[in-house]
Formats: sequence, C-alpha cells, structure tokens
Amino acid sequence: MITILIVEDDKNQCLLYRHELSEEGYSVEIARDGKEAVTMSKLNPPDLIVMDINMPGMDGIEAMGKILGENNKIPIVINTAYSSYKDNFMTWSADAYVVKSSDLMELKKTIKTVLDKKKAS
Amino acid sequence: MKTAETYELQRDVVDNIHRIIATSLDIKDTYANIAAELRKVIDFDRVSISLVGEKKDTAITYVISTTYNGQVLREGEPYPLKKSILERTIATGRPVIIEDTENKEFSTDAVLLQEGIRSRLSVPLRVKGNVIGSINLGSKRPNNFFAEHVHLLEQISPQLALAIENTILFRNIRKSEERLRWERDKLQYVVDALDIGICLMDRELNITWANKKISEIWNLHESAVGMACPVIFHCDDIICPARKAFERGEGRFHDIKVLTKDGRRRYIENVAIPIRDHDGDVKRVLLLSIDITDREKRIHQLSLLTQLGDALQYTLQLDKVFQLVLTCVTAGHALGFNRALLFLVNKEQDAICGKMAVGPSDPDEARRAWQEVSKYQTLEGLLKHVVEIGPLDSRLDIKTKLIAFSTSDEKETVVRCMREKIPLTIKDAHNDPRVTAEFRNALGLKEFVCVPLMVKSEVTGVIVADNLYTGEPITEEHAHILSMFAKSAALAIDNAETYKELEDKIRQLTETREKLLRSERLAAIGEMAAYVAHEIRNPLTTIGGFARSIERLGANNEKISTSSKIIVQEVQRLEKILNSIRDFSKPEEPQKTKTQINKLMEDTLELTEGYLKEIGITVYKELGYDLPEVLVDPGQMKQVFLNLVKNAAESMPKGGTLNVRTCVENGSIKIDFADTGEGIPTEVTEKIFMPFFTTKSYGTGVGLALSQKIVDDHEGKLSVFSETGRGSIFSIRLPLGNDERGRKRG
Repeated sequence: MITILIVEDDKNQCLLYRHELSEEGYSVEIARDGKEAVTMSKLNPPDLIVMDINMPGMDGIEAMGKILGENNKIPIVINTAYSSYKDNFMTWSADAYVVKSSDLMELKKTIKTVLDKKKAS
Repeated sequence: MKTAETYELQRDVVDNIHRIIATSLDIKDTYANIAAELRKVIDFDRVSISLVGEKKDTAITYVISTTYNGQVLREGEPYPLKKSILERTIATGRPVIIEDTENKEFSTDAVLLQEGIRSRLSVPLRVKGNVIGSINLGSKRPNNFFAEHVHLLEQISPQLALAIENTILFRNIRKSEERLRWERDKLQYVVDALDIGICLMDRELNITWANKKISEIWNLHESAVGMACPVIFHCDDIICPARKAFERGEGRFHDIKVLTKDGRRRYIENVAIPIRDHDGDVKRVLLLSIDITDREKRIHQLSLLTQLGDALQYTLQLDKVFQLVLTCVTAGHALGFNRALLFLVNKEQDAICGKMAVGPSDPDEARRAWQEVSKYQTLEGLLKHVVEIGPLDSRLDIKTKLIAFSTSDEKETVVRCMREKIPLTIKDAHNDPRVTAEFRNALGLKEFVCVPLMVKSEVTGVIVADNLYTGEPITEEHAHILSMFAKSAALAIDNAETYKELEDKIRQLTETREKLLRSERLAAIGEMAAYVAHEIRNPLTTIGGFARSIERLGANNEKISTSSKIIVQEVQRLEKILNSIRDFSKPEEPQKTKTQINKLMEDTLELTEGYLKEIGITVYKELGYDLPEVLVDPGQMKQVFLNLVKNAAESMPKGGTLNVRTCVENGSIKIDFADTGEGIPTEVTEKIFMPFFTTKSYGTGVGLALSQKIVDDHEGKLSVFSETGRGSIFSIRLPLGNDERGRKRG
C-alpha cells in the first residue's frame, strides 16, 4: 500500500486529509510539525509527503530541506494557503506546489501524477 | 562899392538858394549848388556848416566844401565845442567875423591857419529861436568878410536852418524805420529758429499771426493764420488754455495734447499767455506749442523699469513675464520698437530657441495694433491690458517659436550675441556678414538690434527688436536703453523660471508623497490581508472539504445533499475573495518585455467578448496604428485591462457602449476605456482607487486599487473622468521608453 505522510499543524485539516486520501486507497500518516516530519520520514520513509509550510517550530521549507538532505528520493508536494512561496527558490526542489483549497481534486490529481512519475523513473 | 547890379545879383542868388533849399530833401545833396550860388556874390575859399552835436559839448562839421589835407576837420566828425567859433555864435546868437586867423582867437583857427585860411565868417542857423549850428565861410586872405556878407548869409540862414532840421528829422525817421525793420526781421529769425510753435489769436480765437513751426507741429498744410484755434488744437471749451487766458487775463495756462505723427505718438504742450495792450485790455493771447515728446520719453524711460518691476511683482507665470517684457520693448516711448522677439537658451539641448514675439505680422496689422495701443494713455494701462488678454498668438509669434539655433552655430546673429555677451546693432541686414539669409528672410529683417539677457554674467537669452514698419533708425541710445532694460528683464525671467522649477518640484514631491502613501497603505493593508487570508483559508479548506465529503456521502438524501452543496458553494465564493486578496497583498514585480498594447487590448476584448455580448454591450475599438511597442508586464497589464473592462461592464448592467481607444500623446501611450454607464459621483471618484472600497454588493474593492498599483509600477498613471448619468472614462498613460522617445525625436 502506498504511504503518504501529511505534514500539517491544523488538526481538523489532518482529519479531512486522512479521510479523503484514505478513501483514495492510500495509507495516511500524520506529522504535526516539521520536526516530527523529519523524524518520521527517517524512521519509516513514506512514498510521498504532502507538506504545509506555515507551522509552529520547524516550518515546512526547513523540514523539506532536512528530509531531502537525508533522502532525495521521497517526492514532496507543497500544500499551503500562500501562493507567494512560489517565489522562494527553496520550494522549487519540491515536486509540486498546490495552493490549499476546499476542493481537494487538484491535490489528489497532483499526488497521482507525482507518484506515476516516480514509478516510471 | 555897391551898385544896383550887385544888389540884383545878390537877390538872384538868394532866390536861387531858396529854390534849391526848397526842392531838396537832403541839404547834403544840393550843398555844392548852394556854394556855387554864394560864390557868385562872395569871394571865399571854403564853406562849411557846423552843427551842435547830440552831446552838447561837441560840434560836428555837417558839410564842408573843400577837401583839405587836414585830419581834424572832416565831414561828420565831432570836435569840442569849447573855444570854437560855434560856441561864440551860440552864446551871442550873433554872426562872428574873424579878420585874421593868425590871432588865433578860437581853437579852430590854428587848424584853419595850417590849411591856409586867414579870415572867417560864421552866421548862426536858428530853428525856433535855438541856434542849431552855423554856416561858415573861410578865405585865404585876411580881412575878407564884411557886414554885407553877414547880411547876405542872414537872408538865407533861416531857410537853411529849417531845411537842415528837416533833413536831420527825415534821416532820423529813416534810421528808425530801418531799425524797426531790422528788429522785425530779427524777431522773425528768432521765431522761425525756435523749436516752438508760436501764434497770436484774437478774442474770437482766430489766429492773427503764427510762425511756421506751428503748422509743422500740428500737421497743417498751410499757415495757421486765419484759422480758428479749436480747429487746430482740437480742444473743448473747458480745457482750452487760450479761453482761460482771455478769462483770467493774467498768468500762464497749460494743456498737454497727444497726437500721432508719422506713426509715432507725440506729446504737445500748449501754453497760453494773455497780452495786455496800453489800455490794460487783453485783446490778444500768445499761444506756444511745445513738443515735449523727448521730455516725456525721458520720464518714460525712467519709469519703464519701475513699472515693469511693479507689474512683474504680481506675475510669476513664465508666459506672462515674457509677454510683459516684450510689451515693454514695443510699447511706450522709452523703447517703442515695432517688434520684439525673445529667444531663450536651452542648456540641456545646447540650443537657443524662439519663445515668444510681440508685434504685428504685416503693415495692416501694424496699423490696427497702433490704433489699439493708442487707446492706452499710459504704459501702466497697457501692461494691465496685456496681462488680462493673455498671449496674442500672432503669425510672428508662431514663426518665432519655430526658430531654434545650436549654441555652437556662430554664424547666427542671435548665437553671436549670446556668446559675445554684447548688444549687436545691425544696420543693414542684407549686407552684414553677421546675419544669415535664413534668419533675415524668416523675419524680414532690415535694421535690428540684438541684446543679451544676462544673469550673473551668464547669458540666458537674447532679445531681438526692430522698427520694420516705421523704418525709424535704431540709435545708439535705443540700443543702450534696451540693454539696460534687458538686465531687469533677465532677472525677472530668471525669477519666473526658478519659480516654475520650484512649482514643478513641489508638484513632483506631492505626487511622490501621494504614491508613497498609497503604497504604504497598500503594504499595510496587504500584510494584514495576507495574515487574515491565511488564517481564514485553513479552516475554510477544512469546512469546504468536509462539506464535499458530506455531499458525496449523503448523495441519496436530498436535504443533506442540497445543504452541503450550499456550504461548498459559499466556501468557494469565500475562497475566490481570498484569492484576489492574495494577489493584492503580494503583487509580483512586473516582468517587462516589449509588448504591443494593441495586441493586449485585442486579447482582452476577445476574452470578454462573450461576457459583454451577454449583457448587451457593444464594443467600439479605435486603436492607434502607430503605437510603438513598450516595456510592460503583459500578464499584469492584461489584468488591468480586464479589470477596467469588467468595471465598465458592471457600470452598464442594462447594456450600453464601451469605447476603447489607444493612441500616442505627449510622449506616452494613452489607453481609454469609456463607458455609457451611470457614471460615478464626484465624492466617490476620490475613493474608487482605495483598496477595499466598493459600491457593489459583490466584489472585493481591490480591482481598481490593484490596477492602479500595477500601472504605478509601470511609471504610468491611471485616472478617471466621470459624469453622473453619462458615463466614465478610465485612462491609462504609459510612458514610452527613453529609447522610444529618442527614436521619435531623431
């Protein structure tokens, strides 16, 4: 089963993602901040990470840097309320950038595309 | 021995002499005849008539028969009366006989003795009992005269005395006449030589005597004599100085008249002086006409700078200053040139350019202009008028504005004047190597003067002036006054220019400040908006996300399905608002590329075509064919166009017309969006560019604010002109790039 790590500080959003992505047939793990995400992905590397940016403690960009430093094979999809982080070149190392929306169609589609690309390579 | 024959002879002689005396006007002319008659009866060698001189102590030899070698006793020459034979004759009233001059009884005896005269006879000549002189005979022989000679002479002496008296009177009259004639001639010479018109007039104010000058001054083609005073001087009863002189009878009465002669204004002062005759009656008045134009000129010259200074104190607009300066050069008596042109140095372009000209463009216009100007008695009045009417826009002015020289082109008079910093007077533009044919022909120059305008030893411009229409020569004095005037004018122009620069700076500063305030306000609002947007977006995502789950799960329960659908829709609307706020809070730096605005416009209209058609809006395009490409961010600019089209459409909910226009204007591209909507009230136009301001029940109020921000970022300007009920025009001005402007100019 494909494992997806959701990195998100908002509890209810985590719930929504787990709910929705489980429905899609993914195994969903949750990290509540950047630090937790780094630890979790080191212990048990997921197939894909959905990363929020604005989080208390370690933010998504820093966490992404650390994770990719350890294992650059894990695809990362940034999922944030801001579109402005597109300007931050650190986010360019992510595989995709999806602005948060109540309609999760785009996120689901992106996850699928990124996973397909990984499988192909 | 006396015979009857002798007596007869004597009587004949006396008669003859009486006849001679009676028929002669001047005794001198007939004196020789008288002597000849006497000689018939008396033997003598010499005859003379002596008269008492005007000074009573002298005697004069009136006539003398023989010319002697002697120096003392000549005709007409005075000698002392004292001790002369005449003194005795006067004293006694009786004849005197000197038997021998060797006795030397009288002072004259010695003299006559030298001449060879030995005896003498002197008979008094009486008029009304007074002895006026004597008739004297002399002989070379002693003891030659006797009582009978005395008797003979006494017969003719009364008539002779009378005749001499008459002759003297006659001569005196003639002398007086001559003197009178001379006095009259002298007066006429003086009167004609005077530069003053003089005339005499009688109580009916008819001129009885006048000199030539008066006709000259008053443009009369004939003598003023016989004319009536009011006809010549065109004055009314109240101010007429001649009338006053007659009424008051003493003193002097003045009046100043202005008249135009050969196209120049002349000031004439009339002075009336009453003249009393012997009875003390004033029967005549002497009237002097004095041309005081030169005096007035001096006064004008002195007051010119003061007046200009005063006028300029209230004038800081550059154009008005130019006009005042040039009007001063052309109006009034101080300078009074026909035309004046102003050239100013443009340091940035290394050029000296025509700025303004005052003066007629042709003789017809000149005549009209002078008529106009002559309405103003003072320069002050004229200057005031000039300030009120504003620039004249004459052909000469337009021609002048088209003239520009490179400051290195020394062949040009204006440039030479500027570089040498001295006034140049060109007497003959056709044959002067300092004048180019082009410059001469452009302005029809013949004789002209060119003076530099200097501020702190730096030339800021040049004034060119001439008298094309009157052809009056330009004197040294004119050129000198003009350069003196130029000093003040230069300062005034410099002041006005500094003021204008200051004004520009202040305007720029105000604009910058406004822009800064706007962007600061935007930044603050943006930051807050970003924060709020983020804080709202997360819960919104959750709400919307779960609503969608519920919608799917409750697909078979219509109530749940409908309710959750509404939640989903509302969340979507909120997210849309958040999106626009996000754009606004972090607009990106424009990525400028060379873009054809017309193409952007076509794209925009294509995108909105369906939408506009649906509301019933007709679009008219008027796209400038010569629009150059400009550096803009096409995406951002398209966003602005879309916003403005959308804005226009929303103002016309019931349909209407949208006119879009693009063109090049004043170095920028102008893009207009004109709608036929309801328009925007004035109090609202001031706020429409403020973020989050909206009059619509929908919308976020960021569309126009964002558009303005983008246009600002392109160094452009977004403005609105609106009329309630008729529609609004939103205009964008985008600067053409520097390279574009350069290409256009070249």
